[in-house]
Amino acid sequence: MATSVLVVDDTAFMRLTLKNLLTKNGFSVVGEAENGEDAVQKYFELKPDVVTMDITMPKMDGIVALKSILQRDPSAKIIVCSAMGQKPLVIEALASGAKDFIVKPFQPDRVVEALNKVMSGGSA
Amino acid sequence: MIEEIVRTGEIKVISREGCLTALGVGSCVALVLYDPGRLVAGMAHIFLPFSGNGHKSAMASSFLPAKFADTAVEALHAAILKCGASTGGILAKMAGGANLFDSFQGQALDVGKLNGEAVKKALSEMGIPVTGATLGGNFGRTVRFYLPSMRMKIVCGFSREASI
Amino acid sequence: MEAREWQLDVLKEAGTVGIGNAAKALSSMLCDRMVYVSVPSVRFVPLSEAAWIWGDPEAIILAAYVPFTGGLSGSAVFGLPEDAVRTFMRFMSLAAEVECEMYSIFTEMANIVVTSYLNALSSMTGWVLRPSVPRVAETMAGAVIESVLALMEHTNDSATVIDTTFSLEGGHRLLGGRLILVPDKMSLCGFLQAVEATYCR
Ligand SMILES: [Mg+2]
Repeated sequence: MATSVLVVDDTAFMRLTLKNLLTKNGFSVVGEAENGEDAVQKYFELKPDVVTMDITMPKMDGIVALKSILQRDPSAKIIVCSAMGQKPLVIEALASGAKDFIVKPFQPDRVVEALNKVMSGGSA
Repeated sequence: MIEEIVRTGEIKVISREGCLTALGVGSCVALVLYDPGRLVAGMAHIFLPFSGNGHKSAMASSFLPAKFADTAVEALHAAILKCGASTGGILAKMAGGANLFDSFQGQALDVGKLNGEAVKKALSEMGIPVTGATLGGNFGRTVRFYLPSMRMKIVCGFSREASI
Repeated sequence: MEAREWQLDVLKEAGTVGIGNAAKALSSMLCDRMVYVSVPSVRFVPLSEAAWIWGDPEAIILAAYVPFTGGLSGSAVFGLPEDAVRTFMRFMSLAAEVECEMYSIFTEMANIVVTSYLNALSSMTGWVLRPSVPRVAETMAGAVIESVLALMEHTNDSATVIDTTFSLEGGHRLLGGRLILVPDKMSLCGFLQAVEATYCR
């Protein structure tokens, strides 16, 4: 069965970009969320195999959402996908349990590799 | 015809014939006070609603006479009186007070709306009637007021125009 | 070097690394097209002249306003003139192989460009600088700048502006845009000190 993915990003453009890319590479995008609150709710509703998580979003940012999901489900596999490639923040995200941190703008291969790695049990 | 450009925070006055212009007005309010009898008009390009929490002393931090609505209306009134307007017949027109940026959370400060409200409040306290106003929206405006016609012409780009 | 001159120099350097990183990100979003950047201009702009920061106050632009917080706080404005919008959006759509509404593409472009700029400032200080979600307007440049300044927390009679421009080849001409950073006066001093601490050790 294809790996199920929840795509979290506030812009429709980025959600569409990720959805196309992932679908083309054999993943199944089972849901989309446009802010952190939405992401937490959809995660527990859909129980996807992997989440791609943006950081800069309205209502609740991606770091807060990531922590909130991992608190209730420590086995959640979340890959941060954000333009905020600032060192202290990357460290915070990984220390909080993110499996990988992809800095936008990304190369498509980088995203596919990260998801494959996470699904095969590896981590960044 | 003379065209006076009224920049943010400024007050300018013309008489008999001419044009007062505020270019690219966003959340600011371009307020015109004019005396139809004496043909004197002044424009204030107002930036923010209040000069502090009701303390006029906060004005000391600004050298711009029209920076704050609450003090700008009085300053503009004084300026046109000085140029020959009579206290009795003064009227007002205004445009601006836009909120350009849509907000996802709807909680962002709407400075434009506050500016419009502050100007209206100050005018009503001074008993000055408003004969035309176009406020709000999510677009900028260029505002021109002409003497002797006493018309205010507003251009919004995208060929939206109005005359009040 | 005089204190004021030194400050200008630091801000100019910040603008240079900022726009450099932003241009790199922009180029990568636009199928690796060459993006040219100008030397930043750092100015103390009186409020009464703010509407002219862009040039013509009546020029119609598509602009994103991005307030940011952290050790350095302030506002960033990323904008494209009317005639450049289509080309930038088309290139970005092509690169991502996605058809999408223009405002959504522009919002993400602004998010990535401004955040990349802030990432560079972050590496100069070690601070995390957090941009908020871009807010988009399509209207006169003067109105945009004036409204952004009115939304800033500390409104003096003047603003410090780090003005940078970028451009790319679209057809036979250069299509350019601007990224303007307006730091909060209150946070500037700390930023200058932090840069000095990391750079001048
Ligand atoms: Mg985002």
